[in-house]
Amino acid sequence: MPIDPGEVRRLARLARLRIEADEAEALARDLERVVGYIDSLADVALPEDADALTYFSSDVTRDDHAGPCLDHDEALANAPEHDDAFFLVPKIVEKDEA
Amino acid sequence: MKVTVLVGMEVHLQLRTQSKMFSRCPARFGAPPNTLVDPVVLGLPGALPVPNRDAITMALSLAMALGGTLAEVTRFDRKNYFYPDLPKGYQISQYDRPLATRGAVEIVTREGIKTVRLRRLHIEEDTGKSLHDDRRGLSRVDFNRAGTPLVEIVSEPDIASPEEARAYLNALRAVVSYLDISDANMQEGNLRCEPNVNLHIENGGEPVKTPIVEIKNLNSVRNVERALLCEIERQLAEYREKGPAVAHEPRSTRGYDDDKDATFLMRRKEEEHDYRYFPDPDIPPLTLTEEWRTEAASRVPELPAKKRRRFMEEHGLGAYDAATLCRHRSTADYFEKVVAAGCAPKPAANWILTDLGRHANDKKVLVAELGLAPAHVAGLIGLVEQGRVARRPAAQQVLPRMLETGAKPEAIVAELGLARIDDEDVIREAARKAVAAHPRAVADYRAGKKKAFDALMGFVMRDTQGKADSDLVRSVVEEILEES
Amino acid sequence: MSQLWQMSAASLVAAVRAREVSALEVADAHIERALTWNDLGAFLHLEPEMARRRARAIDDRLARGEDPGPLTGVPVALKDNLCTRDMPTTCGSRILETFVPPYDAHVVERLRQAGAVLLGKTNLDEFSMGSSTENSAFRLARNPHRLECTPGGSSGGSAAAVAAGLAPLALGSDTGGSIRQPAAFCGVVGLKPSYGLVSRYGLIAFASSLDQIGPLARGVDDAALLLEAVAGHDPRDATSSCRAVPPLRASGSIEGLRLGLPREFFGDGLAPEVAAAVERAKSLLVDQGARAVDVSLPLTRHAIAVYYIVAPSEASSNLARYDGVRYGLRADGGDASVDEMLATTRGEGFGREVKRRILLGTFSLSSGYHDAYYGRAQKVRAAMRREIEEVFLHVDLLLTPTTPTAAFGLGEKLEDPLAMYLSDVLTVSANLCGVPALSLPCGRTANGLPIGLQLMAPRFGEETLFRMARAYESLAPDASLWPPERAA
Repeated sequence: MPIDPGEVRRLARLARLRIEADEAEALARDLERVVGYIDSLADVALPEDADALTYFSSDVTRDDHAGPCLDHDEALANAPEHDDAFFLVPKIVEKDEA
Repeated sequence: MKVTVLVGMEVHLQLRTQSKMFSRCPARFGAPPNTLVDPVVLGLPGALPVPNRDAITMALSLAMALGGTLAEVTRFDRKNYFYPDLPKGYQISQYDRPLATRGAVEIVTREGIKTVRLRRLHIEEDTGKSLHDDRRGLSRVDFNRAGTPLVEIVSEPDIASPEEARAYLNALRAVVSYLDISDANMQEGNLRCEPNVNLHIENGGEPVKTPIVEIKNLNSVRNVERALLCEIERQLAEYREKGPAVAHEPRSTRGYDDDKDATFLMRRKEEEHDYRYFPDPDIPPLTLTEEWRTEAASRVPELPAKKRRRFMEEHGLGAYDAATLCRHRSTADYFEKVVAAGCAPKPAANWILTDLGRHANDKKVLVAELGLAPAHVAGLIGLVEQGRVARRPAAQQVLPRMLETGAKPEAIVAELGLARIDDEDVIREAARKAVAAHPRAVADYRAGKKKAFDALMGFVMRDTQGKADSDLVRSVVEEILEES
Repeated sequence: MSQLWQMSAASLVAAVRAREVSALEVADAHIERALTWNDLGAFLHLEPEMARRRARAIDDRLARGEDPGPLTGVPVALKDNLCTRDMPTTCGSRILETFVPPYDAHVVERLRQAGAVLLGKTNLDEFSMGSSTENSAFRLARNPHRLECTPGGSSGGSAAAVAAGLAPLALGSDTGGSIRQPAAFCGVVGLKPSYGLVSRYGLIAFASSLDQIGPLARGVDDAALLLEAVAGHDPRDATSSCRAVPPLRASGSIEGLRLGLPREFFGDGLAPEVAAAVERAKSLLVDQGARAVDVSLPLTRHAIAVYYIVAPSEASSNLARYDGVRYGLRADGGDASVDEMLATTRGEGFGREVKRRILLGTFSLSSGYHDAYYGRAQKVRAAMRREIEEVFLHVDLLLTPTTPTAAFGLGEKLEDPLAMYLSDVLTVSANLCGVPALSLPCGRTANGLPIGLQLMAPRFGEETLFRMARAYESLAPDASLWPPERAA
């Protein structure tokens, strides 16, 4: 099943990645390989508890005691742009979650 | 033409925990920006989530209070999307193994009692907050709120009017207040509500379904009701304009403009969001064991609806009064303490809902927080019921003094000399004075004007500072008028 | 008398504790060597002054009669995907070029508590994606045995550093072979522990259900020493196991231990020299009383498909946090909106291989494909886990080659598609099944490149693993040799 460049563009948009035109072609081939992978898994017999076996452990939680948090300066130290109180980002056009 | 309104509610409730949902970072309101953050909250490289057990127990108790069916095994999933206030580029939420499904909320409106079915209840983490500065073309992001536990409750579209929507929110808030797990205050943002609304219109021929509209950014229960009202009208108007073709338009999201009292378009849902949900590999699934369910159940007290019914049966209260008393658990408990201290229930309810209620509203607290000992309130009401103090001075003078000083009502009555006057001699004296001082009124009365009698009574009451027993005054004045 | 940089970690600890040599001298010897071998590209970031300060502090504590811990004075190199509070942590990527974490990874905290001297951060394929360290955004790493060959990847820098004597111990991470393959290529011991044995808190995530931090060292006991110092429960990692870490340095007999040889791991594509070396190793062990048993893991044929759906899917989500808001690169966008800033930042900050894997992962998780890719792959993975558990009812360990060939040249790829296939198959199964796997040197090719032997055990079977590895090491002391020395 061939993957068309439109699909690659849609995925790049979804992942917020700028890709070059020459990358798109190779990526389409890679995606086709993944489709092949999933097809190859179609007939594998699964154990009954397959769902439970997808994790290596279960039932891990913690109590509700508060602990330390970062110093305000530490929190902002790596920020590309900040005003000493907030992280700053360019204008947000709209809350588009797609 | 028959129009059916369908409203489904999506409510997000912020839980009142000590720490955040997936890390020990303290959870608080009102701290300076970006001071309640840690590596997990900020989504730093290498940080990992560990779920807060108490938050889940709170959510389970809510699910049980709403009659939901708990999952056997519950799991967290990643909801992937990009937004500056979403630190990891995904939100840890729940997709196909939520804490609970089904359940219901009972609502009371003018029309009566109705059940709104629930679809699901799950737990997730909150995002940070962005503040937009359009003038400077940038946004400021604060992550203090990021990672706070949220419970999401989704209802079926069983709500059929704006009034029912209000009743639904109030009923939900009452349950939440009884469980004491959240402040559930829309103005403070710890309860958020997004109604989804559309109309089914039957006008001969096929029923037309208007496109579903989701309304966001509502900041009060009142605005939820108002927004629904104008949105319903707008959808009806759109149908009248466009006819059945309106059914083919896409769903959309609208906001509500408080000043204009109108909804406005925010965006069209042309395509479904692709959140690429998958089970979070960092968080092993949780078994909702018998022990855990028992623990959650033990946190569920007698709930508002049940308490309301009990007040109606045991104490003979009407539905509306009972429901209002039961809105807040502390008020209902307070009422029962006053009754337990020996007060008759109907007067107790009346005083709590009116006089005490007014003082509580003024001080912006609940009745139980006024600091009035239930035994003292019972005492005051008792004095009025026994006729030892008149109702008005009791409410207007004794009660405020009790609030100020915390003293016993009997002591205040004695101090202020408010004991009801039932000494006939005193009344007779005052009546004679009144008759003598107001010959015009006496003449009017003899001429047949009944109102003149009430005026004479009024003079006597004034003279006795309202403390005289009014029945006694009436018979004495009558007597004296006969005499002359 | 061997040089300080030739000594094992265990003997360094003993010597420093006994005050025969100071921690400062040990640190100096390694720093000097690291600077001399700078063109090896093993380190992205070296901290000589910090290391010396730390070494002096350890010497002071010893002078006061204190015991700084089981790694007293030992220099340790850390793969640059482990968060260190006082050193940059780049993950080999431009998108984190300037990132200095405000916190230490759990394993880093443990190393400090154990008295180790942190030397610096080692080179890696960007975000651990690759098998040659050629995907590092900053510099190439070379194999110390033959400089025109790759040290392997993604923990190439750590393996090269240990092999060349720049540090006696290093930590790496392994998602599909990233510790074991470089260990094999560089002729050192490398372990991917059981999933959950070592806390991932502070490890920059690639694929959360596959990643594990593990030790690289020049000997089995040194690897055990490092593992003991960092393994164990951490309440900040919900996937971290509560099981007590068993003692790993006790010797024991291998008499009667059953060595399974899974036929799927010995297929075509295996270089004859590698096959021969593994065969010789097997014979040595059998002579000492171990039993060789032919076994089969038929579901191995699905390992690649499962891995290439699961790993990129998790990675695409784990790498979504690199958005230029709170840390890391932010592309200069002028008047761009935040969405445009995001796409440009990620487009510029990530290399091609990383972008490729993110897109594959986005595809596999995308709703257009019914979320059935990831879910289905995970279920097949569960079947593989069951299958290997059943095989381990009949054998104690599995013995396989670590890689189908020795190290290939920089800029080259494996030519033979069968070898390429086998190179993935040999290592990913251990990650998919959560079982521990150790690579140890078992000889060299004719042109001097090391060959690795892989041992796999049931989950939490590290004790048996180390016992067998130790036995082999004592039987074949020449299996591991120093790389050729260079002119100073």
